[in-house]
Amino acid sequence: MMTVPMRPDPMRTVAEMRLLPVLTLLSSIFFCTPLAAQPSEGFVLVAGRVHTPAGVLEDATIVIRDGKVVAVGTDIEAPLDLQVLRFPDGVVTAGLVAAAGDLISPRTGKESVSADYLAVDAFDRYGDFRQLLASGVTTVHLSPGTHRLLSGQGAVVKVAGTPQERILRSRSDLSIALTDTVDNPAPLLEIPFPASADTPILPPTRQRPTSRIGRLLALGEELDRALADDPSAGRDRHLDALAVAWNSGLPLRIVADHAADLIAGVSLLRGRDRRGYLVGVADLVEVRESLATASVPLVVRPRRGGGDIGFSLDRLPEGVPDLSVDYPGLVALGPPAASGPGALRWSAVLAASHFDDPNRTIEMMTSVPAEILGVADRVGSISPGKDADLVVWTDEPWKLVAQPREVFVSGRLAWRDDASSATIVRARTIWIGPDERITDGEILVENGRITAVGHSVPHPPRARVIDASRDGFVTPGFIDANGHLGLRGDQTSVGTTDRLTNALGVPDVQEAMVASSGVTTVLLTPHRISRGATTSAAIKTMGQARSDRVLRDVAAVVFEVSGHPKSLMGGVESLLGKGRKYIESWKKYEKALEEYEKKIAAGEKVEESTVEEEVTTESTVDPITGIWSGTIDGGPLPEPQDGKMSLRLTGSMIEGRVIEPDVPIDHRIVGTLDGTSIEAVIEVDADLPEPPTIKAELTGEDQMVGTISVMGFSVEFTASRTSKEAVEFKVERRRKKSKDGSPTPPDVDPTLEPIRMLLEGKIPAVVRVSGTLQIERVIAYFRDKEKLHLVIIDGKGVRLIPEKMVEKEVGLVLPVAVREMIRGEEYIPSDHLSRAGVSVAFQSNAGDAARNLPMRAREAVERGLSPDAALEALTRSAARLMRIDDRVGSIEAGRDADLLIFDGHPFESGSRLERVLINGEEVSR
Amino acid sequence: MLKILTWSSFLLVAVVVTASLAAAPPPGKLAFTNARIIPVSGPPISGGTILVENGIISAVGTDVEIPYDALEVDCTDKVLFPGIVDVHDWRGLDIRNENLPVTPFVDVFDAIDPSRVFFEDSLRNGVTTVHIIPGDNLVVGGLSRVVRPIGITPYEMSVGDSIAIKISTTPKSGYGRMQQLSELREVFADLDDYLGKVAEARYEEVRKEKDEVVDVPPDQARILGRELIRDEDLDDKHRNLKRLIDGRLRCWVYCGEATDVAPALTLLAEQGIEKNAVLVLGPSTFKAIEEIKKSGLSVILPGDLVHRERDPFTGEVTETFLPKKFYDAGIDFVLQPSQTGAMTERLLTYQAARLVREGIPRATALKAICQRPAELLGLGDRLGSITEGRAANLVMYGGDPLDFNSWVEKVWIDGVLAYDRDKDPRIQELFPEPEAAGEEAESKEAEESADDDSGEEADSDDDGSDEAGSDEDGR
Repeated sequence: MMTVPMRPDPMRTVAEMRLLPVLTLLSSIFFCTPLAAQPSEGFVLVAGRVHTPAGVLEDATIVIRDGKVVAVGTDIEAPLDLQVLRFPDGVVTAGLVAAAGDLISPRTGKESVSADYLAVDAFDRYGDFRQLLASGVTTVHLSPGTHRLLSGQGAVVKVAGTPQERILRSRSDLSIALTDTVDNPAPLLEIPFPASADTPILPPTRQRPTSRIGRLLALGEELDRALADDPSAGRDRHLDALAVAWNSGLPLRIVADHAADLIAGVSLLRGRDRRGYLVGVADLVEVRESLATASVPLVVRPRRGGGDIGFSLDRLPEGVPDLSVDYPGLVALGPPAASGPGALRWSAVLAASHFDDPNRTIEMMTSVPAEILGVADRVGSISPGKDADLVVWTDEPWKLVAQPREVFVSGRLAWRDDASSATIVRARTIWIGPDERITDGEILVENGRITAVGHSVPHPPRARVIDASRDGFVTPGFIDANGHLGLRGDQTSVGTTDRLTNALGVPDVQEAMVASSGVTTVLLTPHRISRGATTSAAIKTMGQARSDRVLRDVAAVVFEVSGHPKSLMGGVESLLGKGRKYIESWKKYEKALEEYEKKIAAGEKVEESTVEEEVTTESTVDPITGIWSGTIDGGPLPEPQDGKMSLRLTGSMIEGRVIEPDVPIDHRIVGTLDGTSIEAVIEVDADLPEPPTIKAELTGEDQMVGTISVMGFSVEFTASRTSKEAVEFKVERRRKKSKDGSPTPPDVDPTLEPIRMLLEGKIPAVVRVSGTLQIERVIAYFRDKEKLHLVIIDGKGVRLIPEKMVEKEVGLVLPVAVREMIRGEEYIPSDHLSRAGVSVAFQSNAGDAARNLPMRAREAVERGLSPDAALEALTRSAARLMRIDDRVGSIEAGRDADLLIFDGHPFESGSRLERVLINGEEVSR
Repeated sequence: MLKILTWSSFLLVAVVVTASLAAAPPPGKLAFTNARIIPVSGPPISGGTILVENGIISAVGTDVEIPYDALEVDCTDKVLFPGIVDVHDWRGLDIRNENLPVTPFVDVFDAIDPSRVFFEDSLRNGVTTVHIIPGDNLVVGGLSRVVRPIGITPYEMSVGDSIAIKISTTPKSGYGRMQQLSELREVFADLDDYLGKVAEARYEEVRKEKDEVVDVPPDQARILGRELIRDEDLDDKHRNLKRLIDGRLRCWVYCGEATDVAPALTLLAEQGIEKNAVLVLGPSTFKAIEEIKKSGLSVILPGDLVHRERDPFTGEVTETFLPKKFYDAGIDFVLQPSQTGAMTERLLTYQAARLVREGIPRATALKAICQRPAELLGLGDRLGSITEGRAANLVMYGGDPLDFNSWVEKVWIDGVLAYDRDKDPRIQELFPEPEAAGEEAESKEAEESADDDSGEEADSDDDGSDEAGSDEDGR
C-alpha cells in the first residue's frame, strides 16, 4: 500500500552507485592517510611541537628507521626514500612510561615472602592493549602484587609490538610492599605426599608480619635465611629465588602509602646498602628531609579522593603533592592510587598546576620513570638510538583536553584515533558577519558539521585541535554563484531535465586547485543554455564520497531570456504553466490519497475497483502530422528551391521523410517537438561526417520557419502544411485502478520536477537577462506575478534600478568583469550595488578558473569595495541568494564545516590562506 | 578420586591385560565386499574388498581373492571408514582432574569406568580408539591410557601401556599464571634435586657392591650416579617424571592461550623433551602460530574450532576458524571432539566436515580424525587407516562419513563386530520397532493406492537404515 507520494529520482542513485568506488579510490589518494603509510623500514614524522631531552622543538622532524629514532631536530632534511607523516597541529612526546598501575592481577601463591613469582609470567604477550595505548602509555611496569611483603619480581614491558619485542626487562626488581595489606597473611598449609606417620599433615604454618613494626624484621629474617649457605635447610623455591635475585643485584621496589613507611623503606635500602626506589602517595613535603639525604628515586601516585575525609588523617584530598620542591633524587609520576596505568596522564594534569613550566610533567611521565625502571636506554625519550615509541597528542598532554591521536611503538603504528572525527579550530578571529566577529574563539566540528561556535566550546574526547590562535582569521568557505567546474564533454544543456551532478567526476587536480584557493561551493550550470531554461546544482569542490560533494541536486532553475520586453516571457510562461499543471496533478493525487487513507483509518470499505479502466477519448489537433511544402533558401543555394516533406507526430516524437525533390537514397527524418520548437536530424544511409539537422519553430497554425544544416552549411526554410492526413487523433488514457482501490500517483516528470520546486518556493529562479526594461519585466513577472525567489545574473542595466532590486528583494550575480567603462567612466558594479543595498554574489562563469574568484574579489576591493562587503558577497550573501544558506555560507552551529583559515583578514594586504576545510576534512595544499 | 597404584600391582595389571587380550576368541577370516572404501591413507576405492585375518587387515583392493573359508560381509551401497581415533578425552574418567595440582603418580587406568555412556556413544559415533588423559585443570597430571570403547574391565579395554603425562602452562582454576609457572618450574627443579640425591646414593651403593671406595666428591657423585638410577630406586612421586625426561613417556602440554605457548616451549627445551611433546591448544593460540610452527611440535586443536573476540572499541566480534589458520601456516594438526560444547561438536566427523566447509582439503580433514591422531599416539603402524597390516578397526556408514545424514551402522574392532545399530537398545528406544514397521506398512499402502511421491520419499528415507538392517538379520 502506498502511503506517501513517491518522487523517486532513479538517475541519481544509479550514478551514485557507479561513481562511489572511483570517488573513494581517488579521494584516498587525495586525502592521503597516515595509516596507508606504514613502512616497516621507517618513516619521517613532522610535527608542530616535539618534546625532546634538548627541549621543546617547534616544527621539528623525526626520522625513524627500523623501529629506532635516527635523527630529531628542526633543520633535518627528510630522507627521500621515507614517507613523511605530517601533524602540523600535533604535539609529540615519547610514549608514556607507567611506573605503577595494575595491568596484571596479583600473584595467587600465599607465601608472605617469595621471589619465585615472576610478574612477566602473567603478562599476556599477545594481549590487545589498545585501550591503554589510547591513553598514550606504551611502557608499563608489571608488579607481581603489593598484597604481600615480598610478592616476587617485577618486569617492564611494552604494550604493543611482537611478543618478543614487548618484554623490555623480564626481571626488573624485587617487589616489596610496606602497606597495611601485607600484615597477617593467611597461614600456609602444605600437604606432604605421600602423607604417613613419618610425614604427617601438619597444621598450617603461621606467616609474618603481623604488624607494621614486624615488617622489616620479617623481611630481614627471610632474607638472611635465603642468603645463608645452609645445606640442611632443604629446598625452598621461594627463598632460593630470593637469593639468586638478591645476588644478581636487582633493585628493590618499595611500595608505601604513609610517610612513616616511606622512611622505613629508605632505612631498609640504607641498611642493606641496596639500590631501589619508592612508590607511594605520601605527602612529599612531609618526608622530604628524611628522604633527601638518601636521594632515593620516587614514583609519586596522586591520591584519589573519594567520600568525606572525616577524622581519618590517611585520607587527604585528591591531588599530587607539590613536586616543584627541591628534591635531589629523581621524581616520576605514576598513575593515581588504585588506578590502572591508563590514568597516568591524569596525574600530570593534577601536577601541572605546581609548575611554572608545566612541560616538566612530561619528563616525569617519560624519561624519569624510564630511568628509574632501568629501561632509559630503550624508551622514555625522543633521541637518536632510542626506540621509536612516539605519541602524537592533540595538545600538550598535561592539558585537560589533550588526547593521543596516534601512537607508534617500535616504529609501528600501534593505535590511532579512528572513532572521533571531532576537530576544534581555535582562532584569533572568527568572522561571523560584517558586524560580528568572535575574538579568541573556537569552532567545534563534528562529522563534517559545525556543532558549536564560541569563546570556549565543548572538547569531545580525542578531538583534533587546529590551533590558529596566534593570528588565525576564520571565514566561511567561498561560494562561486555560477561556474562549470568539472563539466567536461558535452557542455550544452538539454533543458530542465538536466541533473548536472550526474556528470560529476571524481575530484581531480582542477578541483583541488579550486578548493585550495578557498572556493568550497560552486553553483554548477551548463556552459550553454539551449532551450531557455536549465537547472543548476550546488556542489562542494572536494569530498571523499559523492554524498559529501552534492549539496543540492537541483539548486536553481536558470532561465535565459532576451528580446523585446513584451515577448520576453513567452517561453518561461509556458514552462511554468506546465509546471503548475504538474503540481495540480500531484495535489489531486495527494488529496485522493488522503481521503483514501482517512477511509481506511475509519475502517470504511473502499470500493474495490468496480471500474477496471477508465477510457478517455480526447480529440486534439495534431500540429505536425501531414504534408508540408515550402521553400529552402540561402546558404550555398543559387536560388530558392521548393520541396515537400511528410511528417508524423507520435507523442513528442516526429518521424517523416522528404517527398520532393526526390531523394535517391534511403533517408528518415527523426526528431522531437518541444512546445513549438522542432529539432530533427535527417538520417541518411550515406557516408556523411554528421547527418543534416533541422531546427524549426512553429510560427502559427500550420506554419513553420527554420534552418537546415548540412556539413557546415545552413539553409533557411519556411513551410506550411498543405495536407492534414490525420486531422484529429484520439488519445486513449487507460487508467487502471489499483486492486485495493488506492489512487494511482501520476508519473514523475524529471523535466517538471525542478519547476515544481521553483513554484513551491524551495529554489530560486536565476535569470540571465540584460537591459533595464527587460530586467524590470523579469522582476514584474517573477516577483510581482509569481512571487518567486529571483536572482538576476550578469544584468547589464541593473545599475539604473538598484532601488527596485532592493525593494523587490532581487539579488544579483555580478558580471565576471570587475569593472565596466560607461561613457568613458569606470563603473564598479560590486561597489556601487552593494552600497546601494543590493545583495550581490560573485561568479566565475568558468571551470577551474573559479580559483581566481578570491582574486577577483580582491580586485574589487582594490577599486573601492569594502573588504567585509566582498567577504559577505563571497559567503553569506551568495548562500542566501541561492537558498543554500541552511548548509553553507556562514559559521554557525548546524552548518557544514567549510572553513578557511587566513592569517589575517582575507582582503587586507599581506594575509594568506593557510588552510582549507571542506566538510571538516582538510584539503591538502 | 583415583586410587594410587604401586609399581608391583601395575605389573600385575599388565599381565592380566595381556592375558585377557590373548583370551579373546580369534575372529577368523572376514571379507568385506562391494564396499566403497575410504582408506584415508590413500584415495577412495569403489567396489572394493577388505580381507581381515585374525583381526588384522590382510588385503585391501578391488581384485582381492576371497578365501573359501572367509565369512563374507556384503557392503553394497555402504562406506567403510577406518575406526576414528579420539585423541584427547577425559570423559571415560569419573572426574576430570585431581584436586592436587601436581599428580604425576596417578594413572587414569585406575579411574576408567567401562560402564560410562561415553564409551557407548564413542562406538555409536564410529570411534574405536580413545586416548583417556586427565583434563586441563592441573599443573602436572597423571598417566594417560589408550583404550578401545569395548570391554567390561579396564584391562580388557586397554591398548598397550601408558602413553603420556599431562602438563599445563595455563593456570589451574584458582591459580594465577605466576603461581602456575612457579609450581611447574618447581616440579622439575625438585625432580632434579631428588635425582641428584638418589644418584649420589646409587653411586655409593654401586661402588660398595664392587667393593670400591667412593672416590669423588658428592657433587660429582650426583652426576656420575644418574645413569645408575633404576626405576625401582625412585619413589612414586618422581618415577613417572623420570620416565618423562628420559623420553619413555610422552608429554602433552596444554596451552589454553597464546601467551602460554612460549613458557611451554621453554620448559620442553629445558628438559630436552621436545621430541616427545604434543601441544594441546586453546582457541586463542592461533595468535602464537609462528612460535608453534617454529617449534615443529604436533598440535591438537580445541573442540571449539572458532575463536571469537570482541573489539574493545567498536564492540565488533571477529570470528577466527582455527584449523584454517593452522592449515594455511602448514602445521599438521589433529582434531579432538568438544567435551563440553554442543552435541554436534562432540562428533569428530562433524568437526572434520566443518574443515571441508571452510576450504581445507578433504584428505587433510579425514586424516585429522584417524590417521594423524593414531600417529600422535605412537600407534600409526597399528591404527588409523585401512591399510594392510593395520588392525581391522572398521566403521560402516550408510553414506559418506562427513554427510550428516549418514549413520554409523556397524563397527568392527580388531575384526570383531563391536556395534550394530540394529541391535542398539538406545536407538531402539528412540525409534521403536513396531512404529517403524507400521510406517513401513503405511508407506507400502501409499505406494499401492496413491501416488503421493513426496510422502513416500520421506518415509523411505526414515526407514532406510531399518530396511538395511532387516536384510542383515535375514542372512
